[in-house]
Amino acid sequence: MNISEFSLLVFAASLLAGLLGAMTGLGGGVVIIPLLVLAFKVNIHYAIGASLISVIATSSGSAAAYLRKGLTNIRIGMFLEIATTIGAIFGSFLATRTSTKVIASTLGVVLLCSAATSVRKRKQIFANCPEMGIARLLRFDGFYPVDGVMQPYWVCRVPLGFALMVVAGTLSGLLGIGSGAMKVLAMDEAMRIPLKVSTTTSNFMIGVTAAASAGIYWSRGYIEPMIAMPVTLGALVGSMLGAAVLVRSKTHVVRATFAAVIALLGCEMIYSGMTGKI
Amino acid sequence: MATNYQLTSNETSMEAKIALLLRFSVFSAATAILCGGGHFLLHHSHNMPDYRSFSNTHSYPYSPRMLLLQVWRKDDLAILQCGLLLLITTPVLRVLYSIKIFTEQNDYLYVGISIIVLLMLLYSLLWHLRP
Repeated sequence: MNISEFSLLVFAASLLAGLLGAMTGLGGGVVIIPLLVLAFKVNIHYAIGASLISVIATSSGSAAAYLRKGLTNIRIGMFLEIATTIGAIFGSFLATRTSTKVIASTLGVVLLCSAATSVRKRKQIFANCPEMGIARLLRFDGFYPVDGVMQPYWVCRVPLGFALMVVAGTLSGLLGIGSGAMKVLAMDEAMRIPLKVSTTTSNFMIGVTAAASAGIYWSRGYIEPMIAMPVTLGALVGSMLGAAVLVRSKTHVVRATFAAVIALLGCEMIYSGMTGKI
Repeated sequence: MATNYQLTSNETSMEAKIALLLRFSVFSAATAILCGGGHFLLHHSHNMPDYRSFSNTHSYPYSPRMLLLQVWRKDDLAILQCGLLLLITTPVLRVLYSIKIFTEQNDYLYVGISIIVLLMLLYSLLWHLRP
């Protein structure tokens, strides 16, 4: 295999990952690393670096689309970005001190968790705490459209949400993923933010979180340009197509299939990590 | 209630501007990545570098000053890397823009919060300048 064939194949694989990632809302980053490591035998550090860049690209690309709909709560996003960037910087320092065995196995566990959360049905729990101190101070309450009518919403348990975001940022910095699933979980379950708002706000935050580790990755030589190129362009094109296809397709079949693939890749990463094949 | 709705419409126009900015920089970055990388492939299509082993010594320029010097010499990889660097700085642009908007709205609490986020990003991006 020469570098042209390598680039073309990686581009195609990343496109597919980006497409499925956007259609299912799971993001392409989580599958790109195992693909590069297991199928293309790329060193895990380079795979993590390339994935991180693709995460920034797809997040900025899709955040643009979501922002136009006016669903993103920029205040909540900006405040929680303090937590995710602290985590991301910590995570990227951790990445250089952690053995590839541990990184691979941790990624495997994260893949299994993402697969599990994607099958779980998200249910709307309405916040019933309009007088909460911190959320009130930070003016987190907002409006979002329900059947064309603007509905108010409130936000609960900000400290818990903040702590979970530090963890999400650390995983993002350690593994080069967007950790969107964890961010959504923190906003849904802990802070009781409406689903539409938490999904788009999470997307908005992923880019800034990833950029906080990207600088450190860059200086450490994790970002190999000729690997980052096909991964980033593929994921970008794939996620744009995915957003377009999303409107008219049965996502639950795609979702279940993709979750199964993610779970399999997760097991493979844990196995390869434990046996030291990576 | 009237003031709340006005705030929402203000925020919507702010979001639309940020969205445009993000689109523009992602598009420019992708163009640079494609041009630099594509041109490199045309001339080096038969090599296959070893990506299995990781070396943390740099085979490419990575400081912005060295990069710009290489771009001036029409180095393909430097153009590709400029695109990657532009992508990394897209979120920084977004945070800078938020600071500007929050300042215009006299929302100093959020100006402060945005500045903290900006400092975190700059810490990471300028980390290679450490003594």
